[in-house]
Amino acid sequence: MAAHSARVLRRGLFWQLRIALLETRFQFLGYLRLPAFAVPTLLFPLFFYLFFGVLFQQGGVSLTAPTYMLATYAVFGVLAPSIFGFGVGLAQERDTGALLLKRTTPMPTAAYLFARVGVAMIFGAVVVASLFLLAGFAAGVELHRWQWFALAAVILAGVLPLSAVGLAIGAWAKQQAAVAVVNLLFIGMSVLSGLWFPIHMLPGFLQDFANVFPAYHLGQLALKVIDLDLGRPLWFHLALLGGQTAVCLAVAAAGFRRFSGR
Amino acid sequence: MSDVAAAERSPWRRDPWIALAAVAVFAGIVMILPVPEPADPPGGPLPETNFAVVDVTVFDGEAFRPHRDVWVEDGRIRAVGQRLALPDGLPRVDGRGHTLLPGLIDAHTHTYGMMLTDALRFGVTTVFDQFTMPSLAAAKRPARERLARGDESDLFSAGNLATAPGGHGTQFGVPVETLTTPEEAAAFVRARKEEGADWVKIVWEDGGTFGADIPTLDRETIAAVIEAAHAEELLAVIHASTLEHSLAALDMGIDGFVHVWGDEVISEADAARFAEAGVFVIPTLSVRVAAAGESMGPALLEATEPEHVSPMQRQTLTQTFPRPVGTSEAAVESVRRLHAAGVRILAGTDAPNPGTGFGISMHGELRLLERAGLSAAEALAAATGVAADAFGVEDRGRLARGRIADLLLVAGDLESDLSRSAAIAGVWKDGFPVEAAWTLPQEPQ
Ligand SMILES: [Zn+2]
Repeated sequence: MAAHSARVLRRGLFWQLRIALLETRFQFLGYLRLPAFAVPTLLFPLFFYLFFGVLFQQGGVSLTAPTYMLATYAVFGVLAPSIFGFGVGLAQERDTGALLLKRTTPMPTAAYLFARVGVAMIFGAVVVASLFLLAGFAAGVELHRWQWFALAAVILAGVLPLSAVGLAIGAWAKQQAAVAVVNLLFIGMSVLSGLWFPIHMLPGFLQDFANVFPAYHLGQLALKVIDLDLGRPLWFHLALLGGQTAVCLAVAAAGFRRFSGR
Repeated sequence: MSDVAAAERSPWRRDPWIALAAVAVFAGIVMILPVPEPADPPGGPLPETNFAVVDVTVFDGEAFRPHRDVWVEDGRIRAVGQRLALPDGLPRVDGRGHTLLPGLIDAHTHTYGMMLTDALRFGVTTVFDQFTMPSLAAAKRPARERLARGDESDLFSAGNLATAPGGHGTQFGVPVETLTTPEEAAAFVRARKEEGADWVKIVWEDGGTFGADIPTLDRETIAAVIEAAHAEELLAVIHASTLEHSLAALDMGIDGFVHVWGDEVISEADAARFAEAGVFVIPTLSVRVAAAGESMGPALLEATEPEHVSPMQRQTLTQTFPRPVGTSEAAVESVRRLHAAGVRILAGTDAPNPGTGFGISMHGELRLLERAGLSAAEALAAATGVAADAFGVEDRGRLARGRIADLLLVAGDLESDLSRSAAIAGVWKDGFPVEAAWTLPQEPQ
């Protein structure tokens, strides 16, 4: 076993990537067998967008609403796989001992984290692509080509900070509690970050309060690509998003140290 | 999996290729998504009647709104908004890097010569004339009631002003109907209304501020004219050159002032009275600074391509008053206080008085209003939405659904640099581009 590990490590970066992809495949297939996760994750954003962004807007003179909602529902679309994957998935694996088992294999921690993020990105990419197709061909949304790419890039990159939120929850909460906490945060953060309906429809103090949520900053960054953000500077959202991610990672690290020390 | 070599041969080898294929499929989907129809940058021939200016910063008559589309249909504004659902094949002007605003309204001019063409070339699509021949005003009236290609801005006018025999306004060689007593006021105003005057302008000028002694209407007659105008449902505005006369006119119920006085700075308490009365003031700082010997004319000429300036514009811009009257500081400070108190300020130039030019001086007036403490948006509102509202002209002065497509497109961001207002990239009148007006008839060499 030790000899194997040594040989594996010698294989270097490419081999690590191979392992990471392998773990990604396992986790992805695992999710597909969990319709309670996969179906709502994929269908909720699409259903909401179809209803509010397409059917509700038929015949309007302006495409502002369907364009705006494309960005916010796409962020909503990556929020679920990101925080559920880490928050619930991690807590579950830890509580059932699966994580302990994995720690005995030669798989590096980095590969495990890569796989979790990778799976969230796969689900996110499926949601984003489906939303884009709905927006472009059903709602009539038109964006410059660079805007389509930039919007996709911003939203998929958003998997990272949102995963950090899930990681922090998963590192501390027990499985049952994690499900509750993640659900609460998922709904609360979606609404209060302006992902379900435009942030400017919220009362002023709630608009200020939205600054505590990474999903709000991610939403504003996505909206900035299509000129529909609230007009705060780019660095403001990047700085807060970066800071919030750092805090989440620190919280997660503390949680793992406690887990390891047990 | 005890053998690493076995893993090498396993189907998991394909994982990187699957990942790459997934990325390619995703990129392929993004590549087929719809993009906007191409928009032409301004600079070439501009579209007419039915078109859109897309992704432009709009000044709508009140405020700046970035990234708007403005859709013109049959010479009127069909819609203003973000990301309009524009019909296929509609000509589009790329508005990025530009500001689109309603055609400017010069609220104090005197119509003369090629004035309306000169004004239009500089984005002034409507003028509020404060004294011209009623016959001339009548001749120009039909143009403002239809949407058609033309090379003149639209004219609204007081026509014949209310002044005393031999008083201010009678010195230009134009026949002027005058009056002397309050008893004549009602008939005088009714005659103006029948001539087609859009409002009544009253002159209260004894020449004191420039060392002359000229006949003027007495207070009772002025009060009677204001009352008669209101009885005919016309606005009454006044030329008063001192603060004292202006305060007296305020008490008589005047609706607006066509100049700011230059003799004294108004107190904050009196400015508050102006605000409370709801009157408007057209300071005409362009002519005030020129009268004080600080004309903006030469600077405006310097900043403008010579081929855009008509001989008449050049002539009036370089003229000077015989001797300085008042100080510009007092006038500017009064405007600052009036504005701070909440009094409606309108942009007007009093062209073609010495030191001013039709149209071109509006761009100088905007800067002077900025000097008096108005923000870029407030100065532009003074030249658009506020002016239209003050004179009850409903289908101009704003970029909004149903308004006439009188448009001024300028290169740059006016919010951060109001001097860009003269960087004209296009003017539309009734939805027709007037770039033809840029080409002045050249004098033979
Ligand atoms: Zn005048």
